Amino acid sequence: MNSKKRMVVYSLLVAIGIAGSLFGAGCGRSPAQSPKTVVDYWGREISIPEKVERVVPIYYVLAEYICAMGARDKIVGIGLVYTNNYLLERFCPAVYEIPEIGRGGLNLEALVELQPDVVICSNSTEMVDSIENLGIVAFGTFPNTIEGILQQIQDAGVIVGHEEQAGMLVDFQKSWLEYVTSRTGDLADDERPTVYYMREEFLETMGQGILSDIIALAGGKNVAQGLGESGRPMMVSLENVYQWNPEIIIIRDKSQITVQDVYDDPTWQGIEAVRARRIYKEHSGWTEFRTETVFGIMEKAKWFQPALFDELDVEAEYEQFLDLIASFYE
Amino acid sequence: MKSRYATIILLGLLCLVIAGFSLVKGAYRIELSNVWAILVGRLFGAEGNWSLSDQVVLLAVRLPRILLVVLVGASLAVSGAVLQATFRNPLVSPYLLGISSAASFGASVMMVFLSVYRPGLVQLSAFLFGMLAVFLASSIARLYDPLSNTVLILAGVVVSSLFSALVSILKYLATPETLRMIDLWSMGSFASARWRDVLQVMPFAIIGCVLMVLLSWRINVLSLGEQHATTLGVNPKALRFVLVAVTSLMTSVSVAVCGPIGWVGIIIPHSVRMMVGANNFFVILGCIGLGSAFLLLVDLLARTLLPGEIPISILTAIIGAGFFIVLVSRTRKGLWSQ
Repeated sequence: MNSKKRMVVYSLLVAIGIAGSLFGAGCGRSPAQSPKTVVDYWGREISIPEKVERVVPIYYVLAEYICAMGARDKIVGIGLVYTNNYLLERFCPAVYEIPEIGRGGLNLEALVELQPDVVICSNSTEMVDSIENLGIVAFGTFPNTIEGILQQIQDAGVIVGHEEQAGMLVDFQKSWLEYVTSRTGDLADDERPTVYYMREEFLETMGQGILSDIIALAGGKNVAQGLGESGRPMMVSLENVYQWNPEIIIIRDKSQITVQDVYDDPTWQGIEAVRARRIYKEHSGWTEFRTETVFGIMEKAKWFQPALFDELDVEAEYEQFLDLIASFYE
Repeated sequence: MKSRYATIILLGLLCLVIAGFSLVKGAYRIELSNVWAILVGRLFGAEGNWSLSDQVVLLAVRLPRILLVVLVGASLAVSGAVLQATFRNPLVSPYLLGISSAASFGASVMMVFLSVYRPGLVQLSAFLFGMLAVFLASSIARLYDPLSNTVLILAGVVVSSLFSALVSILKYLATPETLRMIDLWSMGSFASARWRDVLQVMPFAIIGCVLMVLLSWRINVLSLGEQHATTLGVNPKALRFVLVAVTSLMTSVSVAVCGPIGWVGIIIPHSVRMMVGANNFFVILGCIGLGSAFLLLVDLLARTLLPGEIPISILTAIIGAGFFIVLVSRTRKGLWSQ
């Protein structure tokens, strides 16, 4: 009995010792005096080390932002990365060679091995906690609005010390956003075509959230607006689609479904968009939560309101944007 | 005996009533008079003043969906009942030999490695892998003892977890888009049902159900045990082979077309047994009626309860469990301890 008690006391002491040293390590590395701060998803002010040379974006879109602002050399690891990403393939092919530490769950040991100054991840409290426990600065972010996406680019700029370049990317997009909304903002409800957004399956769409905002900014009206959970894909039935009878159908960029697949489907022949031949597929990468989000809005504005945006050449403007990114690497 | 026939007829009527209700109810509103006019009009070539959308929704969306639900509901319930009797195990489901996870793997392979949208190929691959699972499980079992029920069930568990692991590997490699497709598929749905699907499932379902009814007295004998079967002149090995092969075909084709739909194959046979007793002739007939009626009801709720679609396996589990509890509380004891 006595020896058992002693054991308990010893193990408690050892545990306290370990906890203390871990806590100390954490405090020692936290840059409390740094003047650079960014506000994370939960509204916390996160202090960023003065000099950030090693960044690990867990979410690949963040890698895209960082790469677009000319800071590709600072990316030392990535959560996971998919091919068919134009910006990364063109400006940052090396990102496909660096360690991938997030496939099938974050590998914390591999993360420590990379010695990052800052880790940028999504709004998972669990992930942020486990990274902060290692004494590494973690910035959790997830935008719910277009402004949020642009703010995220700006924040990524602050973190890697490329505020100026990030600002240029944001300003470029903001000016086009204003151009589009100045023409679509006053459209009455009956001037906006109804739009069905088709995802990975014919009957998978998105209701509430940023996608409905994008469609509205571009001068349309999402037929599933207000349905489902915010930002989450949902299944509908073909009867729903017939009930809505959308005037335009948009197919998500990465979907395997082609415009022709929908035109050829016998069960979709009664839908207005099919009869009017108004089905379009998004340009690759021009979706929400991407560096090129605003180009997706411009592209859709041309489809929804052709009369208002007749002279707008989205491809040409995109080339300009790519030139801007290229200039950061010259 | 008479009351059992009455129960079967009642179940059949129940199925017809729910099917009729499903035909007029949906997210898209069609006037009742139009429903009738379109159905009669198409049969007898009469003209009417309904819209093209009304016609497409009724004839190309709702009608094939209802027929598919009936065929799949009957197939899964009958397969479950037959396999439970064959293996003399109340926990056996039509997915016993790994069909569901193997079909998921077959579908996922197509989704991951095919860059175009071809649901027909996904279905074909799911069907072939479902049958492969049955072949693998029975081959493994044969290595040990071709007559042991336990070994075949165990082999099914092994094959099932093997394919589950393979699906996980594919999910690990998949992009967010294909991952989403795999998840949607594995939840099962009738949302994209069309005539092609009905025509694919129909021969398997109809021939399978008829064959099972014809073999029902042999199944009764088999469920008494292999020794009894042999003395009564039934070859247990051959019969078991036929039963497993036919139910596997019925299940595989159902899973391939609408994804794995859980619970129907377990809960319906037990419910029917509570209504008509253990004679497999009545159990199989009852499963055809109640399996179809139950799945029709669940599918009706799946497409009308919320503005979108609810994945059907969620509802089969919730409604099935409630239904089962009600039946258990009202049935005499000793049904499974015979």
